[in-house]
Amino acid sequence: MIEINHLSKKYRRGGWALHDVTLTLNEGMVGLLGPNGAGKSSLMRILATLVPPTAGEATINGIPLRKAEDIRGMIGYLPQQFQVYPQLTGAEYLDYVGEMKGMNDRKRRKAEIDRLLEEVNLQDKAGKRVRTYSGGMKRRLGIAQALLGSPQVLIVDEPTAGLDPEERVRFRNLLTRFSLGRIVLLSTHIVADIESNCRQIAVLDRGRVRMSGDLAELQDYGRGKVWEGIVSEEQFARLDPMSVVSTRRSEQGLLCRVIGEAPPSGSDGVLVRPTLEDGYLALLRTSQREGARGYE
Amino acid sequence: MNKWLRQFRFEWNMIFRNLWLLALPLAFAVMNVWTIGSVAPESNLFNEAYTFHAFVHTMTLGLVMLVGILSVRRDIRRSSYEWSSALPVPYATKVSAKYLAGLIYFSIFTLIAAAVFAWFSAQRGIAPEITVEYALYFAVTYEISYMVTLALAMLLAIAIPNRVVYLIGFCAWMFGTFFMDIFLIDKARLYPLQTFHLSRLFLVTNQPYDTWGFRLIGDELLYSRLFVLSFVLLLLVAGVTVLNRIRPTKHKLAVWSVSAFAVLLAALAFVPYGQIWQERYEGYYAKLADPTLKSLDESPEWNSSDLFRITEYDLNVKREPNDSLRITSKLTIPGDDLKAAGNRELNLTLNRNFNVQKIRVGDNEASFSRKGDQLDIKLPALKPEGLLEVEITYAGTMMDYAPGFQGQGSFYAFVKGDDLFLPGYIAWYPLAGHQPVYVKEMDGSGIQLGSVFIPHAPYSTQFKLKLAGFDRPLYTSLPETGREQGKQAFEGQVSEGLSLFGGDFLELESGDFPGKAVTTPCNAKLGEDILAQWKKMYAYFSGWIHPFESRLDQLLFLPNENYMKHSVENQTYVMTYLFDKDYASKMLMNQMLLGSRKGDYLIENMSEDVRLQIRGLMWYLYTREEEGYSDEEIWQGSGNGYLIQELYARDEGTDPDRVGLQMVKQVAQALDEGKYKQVKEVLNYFYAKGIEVPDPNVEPAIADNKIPFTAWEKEWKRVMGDENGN
Repeated sequence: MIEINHLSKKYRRGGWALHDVTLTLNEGMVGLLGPNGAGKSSLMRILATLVPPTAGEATINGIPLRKAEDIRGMIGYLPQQFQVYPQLTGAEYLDYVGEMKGMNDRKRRKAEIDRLLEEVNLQDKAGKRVRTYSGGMKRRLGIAQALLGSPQVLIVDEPTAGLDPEERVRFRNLLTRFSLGRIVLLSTHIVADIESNCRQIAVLDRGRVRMSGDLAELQDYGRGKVWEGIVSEEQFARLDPMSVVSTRRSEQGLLCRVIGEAPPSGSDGVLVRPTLEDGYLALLRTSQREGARGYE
Repeated sequence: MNKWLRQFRFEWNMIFRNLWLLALPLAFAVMNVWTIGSVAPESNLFNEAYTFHAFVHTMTLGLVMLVGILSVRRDIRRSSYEWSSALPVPYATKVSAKYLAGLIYFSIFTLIAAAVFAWFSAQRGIAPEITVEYALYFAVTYEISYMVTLALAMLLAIAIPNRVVYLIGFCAWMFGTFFMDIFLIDKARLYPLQTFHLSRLFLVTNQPYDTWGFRLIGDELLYSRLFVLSFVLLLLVAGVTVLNRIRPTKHKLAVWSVSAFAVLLAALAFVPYGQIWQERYEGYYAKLADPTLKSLDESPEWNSSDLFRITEYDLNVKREPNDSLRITSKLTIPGDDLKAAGNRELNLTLNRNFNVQKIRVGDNEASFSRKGDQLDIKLPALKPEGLLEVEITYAGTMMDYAPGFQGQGSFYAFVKGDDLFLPGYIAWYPLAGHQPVYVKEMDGSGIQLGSVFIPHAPYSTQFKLKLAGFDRPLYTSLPETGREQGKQAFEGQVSEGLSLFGGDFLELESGDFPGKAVTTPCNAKLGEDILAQWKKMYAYFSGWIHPFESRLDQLLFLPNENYMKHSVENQTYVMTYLFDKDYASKMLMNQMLLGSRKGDYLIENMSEDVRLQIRGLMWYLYTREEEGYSDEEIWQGSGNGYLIQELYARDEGTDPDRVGLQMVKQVAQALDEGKYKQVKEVLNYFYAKGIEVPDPNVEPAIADNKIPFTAWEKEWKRVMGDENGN
């Protein structure tokens, strides 16, 4: 379990990246949602013991962050940007990481590396130098290194960026399997990444926790606020762009799905059942309106 | 430990799997073999190698800087490599593994430099212990430079995560080598900062010479290196500390404790190094504050005519184990000289580094006082009659440092281990009167040697010198009368002061040839070549000059211009550099055969004194007969122009009649007719009369021994029969 209590982070040049974050994250897949700049990466870097918090405390499986060396032994981490020594082969790289993680038994290490290479679909490229890998292949190698050593806690920051749809699905399934009995903290701003696998989610916006709970709770934020209706192009042009979730052209006009207290003006819109994404967007709109009113 | 080894293996592979990096030591080896291997046999291998390494080593430091920065930037403080910071690996492990792998790589350069030098040194037959000593010197200097530069580069890369660190690293390399030397050390005379220079080989110092050179500052080098090593540790610890400040650690206290320890260690390591410089500057500032030292604009006060004569010196010099000298000087002074001056006090000059312990005048102990280099002895109430004997016992160490001396800071005189340099003008034995050993610059901002103002005694002095306690033989300009284990004796006439030289020198002799060459092991081949040529010329001249009066019996070829200039002292020629061995051997033969011509400036009319022309004819004959040049070739400039220039010189003021030209025409015609014997008879006649032209201050009697052109013509006619030599 990860317990985060009143955690804040302020960078020397800049404002607060995190502000009084309090969360409890249990076993299983935990999704960390939020727009760009919400503070997801900062929170993950703190939990990965890369930077110290400015204030507050967190424990991972009961171990406080200040005992950083102990925590590093139990986590796997994949940062948002990921590069590997281009002159190594994929297998050499994983072997190095494995040994650095304390996997001293060569046979077991090799077996696990082979297994992980297969899991991330790189078994055929294991002997090739990393400089020959595509962006997506490097990303998969990064996932493999994070999983290596079966860490109790896996922290992956935007792991699906750069992956093709097939690999994305493959990766989600891999994480889901891995999360059994462990904590997998996955940050993303793509709702689909967490929709099918996460048991718990937290939404961050501008350094604050806006919501923490399960998927249904997030979805509920959209209840009574999601409308669908057909509007003309002139009416569409007058809509608040922030409120429009999706549009589809039909024979009668533009079928719009909007978030708001009322249907789009000029249409006979109807309330519809919100999706998880609707809930997320509704939550963000609320958060941003509060921010605009000087919440900060 | 497993992780450290794995990390080290990883860093090792990063370097040793890089073809570019692998090619560089190979190129370096080729350059070494090419350059060191092409040093001419008679050239000084150490000096040539030093010059090469000074430049090449400094260049390789740029590579060290680059590799150091790259090794850090490979994965530290780069956001795309943050995954590596989340691994359970301490930064101390990463930094130390990177450092050691890099250092091992650059140690290959060190090994190549040392091995190539050692190989070629051994090939030349230089003694193994000297080869090892010099090779180790290069190796240690290389390695220490690499250590500190690599650590500095890594710290820069750790502290500056931006790519601008490459530019800053380049600037650090430039500043730590070229600019620091030019602006801080040399121009600002901040010599103690030498320890911060990234490449000691590049510093303008005495170290390129195997005459004394780096041995002389062995303790400074040792303490400097110890400080640099502790500084390396500080740089590395600082790097790890910076990283641990950025990334949380549970060992904060330990990290800061190690940092504090590293700072303390570096500070402590600086103390002995600083003390050396403090002692050096202490002596210098004491001289600056000494009111007895005169300023350059007060020079007219020094006049040799005020001096009394010391007709005999009997010096016993004993070296104590701590490099201190204990000297007993017995001086014999004509009492009349003192009476004439009306002295009740005997004024002498003895270098301030020596503490006078006891003075006896005759059979009685005498009281004395000292001010700087001045030693004043109260003479007994009884006025001395006849010869006054004064015995002075004194002791002290001599490492007389002068900042800025020779533009780089050096020693005026020193006694350290086997290395010893005690020039006569430094007053290591008592000199008559108050003489200026040192003088202040006109604005009082510095000290200079007073040697140019010390008057030559207008007489010769009988010297007896006994040395004891020295591991190696010492050399001086007196004939050596005895030598046994640790003891030497010298005796002879001294007219221009007496200097002592000691060091790791070789004595070169050749059969029954009366000349001897003393030089450093790396100059052995050159010394042998010079000696061989000198011997050959001696055989020629001594074959027809009777009696041959040798005025030189020793060459001290000590290539280090920072202490001495080319000079002749009594029977010894001291050479500090050589352009050409042919020229050197002829200079030696010229001095041996003809002695001094320091008084030539007094010859205002060549017709009244043709000694210079006769000296030139000796060499003209040699050039014709021994070197085979024709008169036409010599006229056109072939042969030994610098030795026969008086024969052809055109000076309407001093030589309106061109007597030299007349004389050489006479001789040339006679030689063309095969009258070598007759020409030699004429030259021999004047040689026996004396054709030396010494400094009139030193040997006034000989200096005035003129030979007019009429005398030449008279003798020429006598030998040749008539005006045309027929």
